[in-house]
Amino acid sequence: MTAPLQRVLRAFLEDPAAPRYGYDLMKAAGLPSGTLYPMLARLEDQKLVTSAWETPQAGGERPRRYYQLTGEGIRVARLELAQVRVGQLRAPVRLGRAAPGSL
Amino acid sequence: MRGERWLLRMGEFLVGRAARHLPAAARVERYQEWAAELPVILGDPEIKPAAARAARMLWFAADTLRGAALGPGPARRGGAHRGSAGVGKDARWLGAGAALLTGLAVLLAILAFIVYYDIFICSASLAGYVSSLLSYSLASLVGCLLWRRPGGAGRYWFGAGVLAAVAGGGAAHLAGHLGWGHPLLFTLISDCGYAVCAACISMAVVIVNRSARRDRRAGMQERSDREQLRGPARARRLP
Repeated sequence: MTAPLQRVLRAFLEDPAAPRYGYDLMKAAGLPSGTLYPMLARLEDQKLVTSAWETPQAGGERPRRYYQLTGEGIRVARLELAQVRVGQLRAPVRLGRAAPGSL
Repeated sequence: MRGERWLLRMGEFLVGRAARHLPAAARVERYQEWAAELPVILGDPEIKPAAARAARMLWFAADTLRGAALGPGPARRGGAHRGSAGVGKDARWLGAGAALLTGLAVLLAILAFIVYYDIFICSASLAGYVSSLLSYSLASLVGCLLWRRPGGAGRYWFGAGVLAAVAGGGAAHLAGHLGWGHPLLFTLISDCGYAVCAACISMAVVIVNRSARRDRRAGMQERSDREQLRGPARARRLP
């Protein structure tokens, strides 16, 4: 799992029930639009994210597309991020281990 | 915000270009999605100076174009319009161009602030105000005259010289006013700025002089060629 994807999933998991729009996710994940939107499209293709058009409350604003993790998306995101965390915890141990045959 | 409509148009143009890299089915929807984000970025209260909001909005649009042109993803599969083979190259150039333009805009904003500060704040006396105004006007006039000369590299040297002088002098003024660092350090910086300015302007003068001499020589050569061509014709006509 790439670092940008981890950031996007973490941003979604801050409040999984809240729909987020692209710019909001950009700010939360600290990613540029050129990285975020293709990623959202990919997640949507994999049915991990759904999107819906919503008109903002303030008049005159254009309708915007809001993204939200699906139930499956929440499960997969939590699982993947947990695996990443476990991998990060194990990494220093692996680095500290002596190579076979060495003293 | 002043010029908001134009900025939005620029942003919409860029996201429109980005949408052209997508499959026809997704194009309109994506364009609407991206175009709807532009006014939100321009009105984002978390980004304070209006210029930063404008830069952020343009950066959003330019990076969307980069992502659509270069980035992998479902958008580019299933009949996506890939354009010519040079699309990736174009997008890279566009990115580099956008970065350069942003840098230039930041530089110009800083210089404009220094000039404003120098003329209206530091020049408290009438003489200082008039001399500052005159020197900037003279520099602008010479810059314009040099700019009109076709293919002269002198204008770049002249521009570099003016920038060095403004930056050096402005830094010293600002530091003196705000009480930053040791005065000697900023005096040295401003002196270096003026020295670089003098060197650049000398270089510009040399280049302009050389180019004028070359033009004069080319003109004389052309005239003599014409006369040589006319000579036999006249000789043929005489009898």
